[in-house]
Amino acid sequence: MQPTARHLPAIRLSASALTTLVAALLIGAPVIAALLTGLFGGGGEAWSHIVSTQLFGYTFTTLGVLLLTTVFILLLAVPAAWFVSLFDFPGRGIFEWALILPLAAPGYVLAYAWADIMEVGGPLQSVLRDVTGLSARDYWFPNLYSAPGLSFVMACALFPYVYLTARAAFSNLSLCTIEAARSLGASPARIFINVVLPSARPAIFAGLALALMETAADYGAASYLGVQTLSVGIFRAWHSFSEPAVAARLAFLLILIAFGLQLIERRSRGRGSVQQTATRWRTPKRRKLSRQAGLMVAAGCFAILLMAFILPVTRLVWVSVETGIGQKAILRPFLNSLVLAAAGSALAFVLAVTVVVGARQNRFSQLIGRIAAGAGYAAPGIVLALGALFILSWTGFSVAGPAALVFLVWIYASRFTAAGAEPLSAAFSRAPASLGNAARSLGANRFQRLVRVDLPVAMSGAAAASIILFVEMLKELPATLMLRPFNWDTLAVQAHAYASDERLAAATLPSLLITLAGLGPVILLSVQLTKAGESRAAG
Amino acid sequence: MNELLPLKAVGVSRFYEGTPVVNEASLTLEPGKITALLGQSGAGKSTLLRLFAGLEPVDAGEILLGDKVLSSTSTHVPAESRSIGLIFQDFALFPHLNALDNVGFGLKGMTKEARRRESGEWLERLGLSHRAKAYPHQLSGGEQQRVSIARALAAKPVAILMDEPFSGLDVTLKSEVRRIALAAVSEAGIPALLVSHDAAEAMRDADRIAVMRKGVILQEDTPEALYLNPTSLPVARALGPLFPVARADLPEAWATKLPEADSYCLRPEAIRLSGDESGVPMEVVSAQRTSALMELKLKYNGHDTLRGIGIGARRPSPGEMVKVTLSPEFVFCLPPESA
Repeated sequence: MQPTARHLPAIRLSASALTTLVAALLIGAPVIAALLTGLFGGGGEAWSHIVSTQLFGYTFTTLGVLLLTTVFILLLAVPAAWFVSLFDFPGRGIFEWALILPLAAPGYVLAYAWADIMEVGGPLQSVLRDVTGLSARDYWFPNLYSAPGLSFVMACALFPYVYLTARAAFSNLSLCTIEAARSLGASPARIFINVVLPSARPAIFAGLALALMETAADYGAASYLGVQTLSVGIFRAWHSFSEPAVAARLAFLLILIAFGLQLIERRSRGRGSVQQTATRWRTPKRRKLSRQAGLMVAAGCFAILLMAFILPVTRLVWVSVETGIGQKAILRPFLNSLVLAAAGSALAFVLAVTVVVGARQNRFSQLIGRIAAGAGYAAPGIVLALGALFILSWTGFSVAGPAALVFLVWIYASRFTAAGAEPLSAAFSRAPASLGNAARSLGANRFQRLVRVDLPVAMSGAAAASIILFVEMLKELPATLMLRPFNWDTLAVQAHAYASDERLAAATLPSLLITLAGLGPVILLSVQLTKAGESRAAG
Repeated sequence: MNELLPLKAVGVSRFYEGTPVVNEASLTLEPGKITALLGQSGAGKSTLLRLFAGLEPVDAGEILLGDKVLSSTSTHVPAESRSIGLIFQDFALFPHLNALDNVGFGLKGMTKEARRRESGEWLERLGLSHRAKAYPHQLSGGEQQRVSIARALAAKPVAILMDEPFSGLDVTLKSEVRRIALAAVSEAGIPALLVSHDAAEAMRDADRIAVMRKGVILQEDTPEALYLNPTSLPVARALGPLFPVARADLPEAWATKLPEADSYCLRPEAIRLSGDESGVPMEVVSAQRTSALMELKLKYNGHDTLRGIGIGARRPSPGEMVKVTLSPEFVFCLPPESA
């Protein structure tokens, strides 16, 4: 006998799917608008001009920056993760969590700091001249205002993504596999290249794809360092040349790159999880390095930390204290940032809960929720802001005053719902299906189950999700620049405005405040992940 | 107090992608009786439990409480409206609620005070009043399972369904938890279903056993009747170990006591070491002690196909001649298993 139609569940399915569909539309509308305009909007003469003059440059520069950033990130993150997970050396316990700290500072803040450190009158070149007795014309010094300079800054800011995923992969390596390789006569180097790296590759790719998505989305650092990436091109087409259709075409290219990276991330993550669960593994015990080797590794880790966090942040603090500028003017942007980030987090949180709960109900909701959240997350803020502007112009709304803030909150939510949905989904998945069934057997309906069981159980994930959302929104620059009401600055906007005006001293305080806000959650995340790793190793 | 009614499955089927997981199964759970659903993994036991609970709709047949239809192809009373208690292998306690609040979760239409009092009484009944404030992660496995049973029973269900409720527990805890838990279930007087893959557990704990295989209920009866009178080889196997013997390999004196057949299935206890000089002499091939019993491999007439058991302090050595007797009630003449 074949299954027959079941009317009641079908009705319930569509109700829950409808809610998810509305949430998905809210999340996905800006990126869809940007895509449609990019595809069908037509670019006219301006586009032909861009194609013949700058398109190749924008695309080539963006791809070049991504490639160089990949090299820098891999060089920084993979060896650090390898040594921290599998070897014991002086300071390992500190480096294990401290190497995540650079995540607290957005790329554009590191760009301001490093630009100041590396300029002709900056501390680095001054020391060089003092030591060597040369004058500025006598030597070559790397130029940060270049594509490699941007890659260096973005790698410093984003290598922890790869460090974290690689560390998890190395810690999960099966000792049996390494022992088997050893018993077959493989040298440590061969084991690393032929056994360890291939098995950690999916995790490394997943982290790398995330970092590169952020790099492609960056506007602040690229525009400050004067590197003509697609993001910068989009902003200029819209802002300086008032050519939104051209901006949309460029945005289309950027979306293609971002979605490509996201596809890589998804596929890599899928493979990674298969590898981890498919085998029985014993976590390798950390091997103690010799004193000399240990000190060298510790020095290497310290150098990374120095470069990516300590030096730039110290420089910002130094300049800020030395000049004492901007204390009064900071209050307003500070409050504005708090209000926007809080409102954006609240909306994104509600959308994330809707998407995650919907995904647990049926496959349709799971699919549309995942696509919408993924599309929002992959699309750079600048593209989403552009999408929102198109929707505004289609619907005839104006972008002035409080309405603009509502749109900004919406764009924040669209961009970051996925970042909130991730920890929420992880927390929900820790609750076995039997919990929901137990609640049903005790008479709890769908809504009661959400309020009395699902949400309380997912509380830890919900807290993490809220913090992540808040901090990400605090850092957001390009969409805020494009959509904020006139004279309504956030910390990020103020930092960018001062820095672009060559008033770096004034940019330091807002930059530091953003970094400080990011530091709390990053330390929390770092401690959580480190503890989780330790308890797994102990178990 | 709810009226005590039987919970029945009448010819229910459930398909996953066209393949029957439960195939025209009929089973009645009588009030006050524990019915065990016994079978190997993938037999369809848990799916049948989910059909009873309303966690899944039926594709054919009906689930009834007394005469009221809970599931059919046109009706589906959702799980939350059935008042059927569920006990899971992983306990499924709400991690954010302490033991008292877990038990109070399903209590409705009463003041907070009354709910706490009633939950407290249930915890006391299951010997857990001192753990009322503890959260699930602070409770041992046995305590968690008792809380989950208190939680299910406190909601005054019309029936209770237990999915491998004791298999997640430490062996040393099992018997005590089982004793307390099943006493509470029996006391409630409602129909109870115990899904298990452990024949010993089912025989010890249940009033009736239904043996399930490949989605079909093969036989349902009391544990005693099933053990001694299985109607098919799979049922006999599900209840305990068997070994096949050709009639030609048995001593003539034994064969004449058995019905005419080419071969038989014997439970190990069919052949026993004789306590005196009576019985047939056989050579011991091997003898292994498994706690109270000795498992014997015996040789007769050049064939070493016979198994038996022995009780006693002395373990016979390989090659030694011993006297053994046959208990014909543990010898079955069953049709060979169809493919």
